[in-house]
Amino acid sequence: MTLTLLVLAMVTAANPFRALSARPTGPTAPALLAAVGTTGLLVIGSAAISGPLLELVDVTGPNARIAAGIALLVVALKDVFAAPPGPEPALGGWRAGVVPMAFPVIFSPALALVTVAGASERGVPLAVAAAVIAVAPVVLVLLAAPRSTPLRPLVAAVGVAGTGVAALVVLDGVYAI
Amino acid sequence: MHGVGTRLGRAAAGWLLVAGVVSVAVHPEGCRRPDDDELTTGARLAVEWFGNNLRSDGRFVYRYDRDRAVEEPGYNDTRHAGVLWSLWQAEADGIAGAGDIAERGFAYVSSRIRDTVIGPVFGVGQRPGSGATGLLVAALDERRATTGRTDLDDLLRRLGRTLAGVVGDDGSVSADIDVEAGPGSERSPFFTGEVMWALARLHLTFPDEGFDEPARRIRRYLVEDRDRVESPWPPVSDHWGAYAFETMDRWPDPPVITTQEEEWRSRQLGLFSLQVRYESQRQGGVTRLTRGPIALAAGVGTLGEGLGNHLLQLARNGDRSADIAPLTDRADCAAALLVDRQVTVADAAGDREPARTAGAWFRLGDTQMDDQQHALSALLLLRDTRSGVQP
Repeated sequence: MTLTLLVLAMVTAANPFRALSARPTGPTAPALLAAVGTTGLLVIGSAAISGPLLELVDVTGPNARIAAGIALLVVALKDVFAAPPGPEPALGGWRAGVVPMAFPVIFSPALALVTVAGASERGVPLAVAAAVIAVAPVVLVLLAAPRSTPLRPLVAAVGVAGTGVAALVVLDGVYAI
Repeated sequence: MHGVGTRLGRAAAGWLLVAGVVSVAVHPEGCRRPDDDELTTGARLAVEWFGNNLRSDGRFVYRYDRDRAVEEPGYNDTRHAGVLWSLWQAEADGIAGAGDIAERGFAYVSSRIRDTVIGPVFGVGQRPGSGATGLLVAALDERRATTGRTDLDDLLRRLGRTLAGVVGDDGSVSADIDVEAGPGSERSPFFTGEVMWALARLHLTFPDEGFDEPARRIRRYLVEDRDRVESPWPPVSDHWGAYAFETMDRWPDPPVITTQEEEWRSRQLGLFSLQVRYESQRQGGVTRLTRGPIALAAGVGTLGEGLGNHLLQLARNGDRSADIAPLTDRADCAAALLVDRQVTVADAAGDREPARTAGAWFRLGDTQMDDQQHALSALLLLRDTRSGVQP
């Protein structure tokens, strides 16, 4: 999996507009910090355990990429066809950045598995770096997008892109050694 | 708070759903690295199977049903020649008695070599296949290298010239040879590689007799045209081609790997590896529903043969060093699948005809002699590969 494909997979797995749909209605800055921090911890944790985890479940790196692609496909299809998640119910205050923004909205099973697959192939530092690049659009959208943004079509559009990226990730695993 | 709990519960259900879908698509792979002794023992048992299942006319038991304890009809000359090659390979690898079994198996061959308009072939009927002659050449060449005997050199050369005669100007290989009309228009996914390998071996043994030129022609065709012309999809998983490439790499004047050849080799490595990864997920139980029954040992053996030959060549030339470790893992995995699925002497003790089952590989209750042949060659090759490859 090239670094570009890894970043694209992470961006579509995190889907900035899905994250936007869960943005709290109150002050956003503390919640945004909490969301980024929590997501960062989850991503780093996923990357760090990738090696032992794959060894534990007896799955090779290429097959982990197939798994990641399939998870991304499922999540992307949900983005295409299901209504985006809303900001409520949520934990109060800045904790809304933890639930629901970081989990379950941004840190989807697709992002988890893409991170694991990416880290197993390219190493933890590169996978985390890719995640930083991938989370940047999420932060940008959360900070800059007006509340009137039409969420449904944008979430679905990223979802459509996600299905294509998912296919590429699966094929990357299939054709790998 | 109650609403948040419900939301988290739904999220957990979503994760479980994704995990369920993923677990249907990707299963644990039952791979390990068997030690050298396991590979040797497996190979020795396979050789014993051939010894126990050799008839007086030089043929081997072709197919056997373990559950009914009956031999099933049929025979295949190409596979017979393949068995002889594997047995001489085993003799060369120090498995005592393998060469004697092969010599007795050659009795069947010598009565079936016949003349055609382009030279002698091994086979019967109006249109014998070129693959049987190709593998016979490989077998006799291995015999020559192993025993030092040159008594069949004349036959070897004449068979080689026949093989050169089935190679078209474009490098395609006629799969059939009409006794009176010569090479036909049939093509085979495997005979192309078999004939190429035979000619490649002959150039090593008889370097001044022009066997390299048709081998080079086939090589170009195999890489650039074969899949497109003969089998657009899926591409042929070509273990014989791998043997041929590895052999040509040992020529005094080995061909330089072209860009197209490197692309072809990458596809081949991916194909072999994918199949090993898929096969290793077949571990019985629920995987019978999602992956089906295990593959033929002949098929698993060819994966080991393909990987082993490419690994040898890559390691020799220091190519694709980053891929050596994963390729070695796949090769070990193929070897483990073979070792773990072979019927041991203890396993066979409960069978009605233990001599028919000990050392064999069964799929759905049946074994065929090429299961033992490909598995034997793969085990020996993969053991030898270890000394030439440092992951």
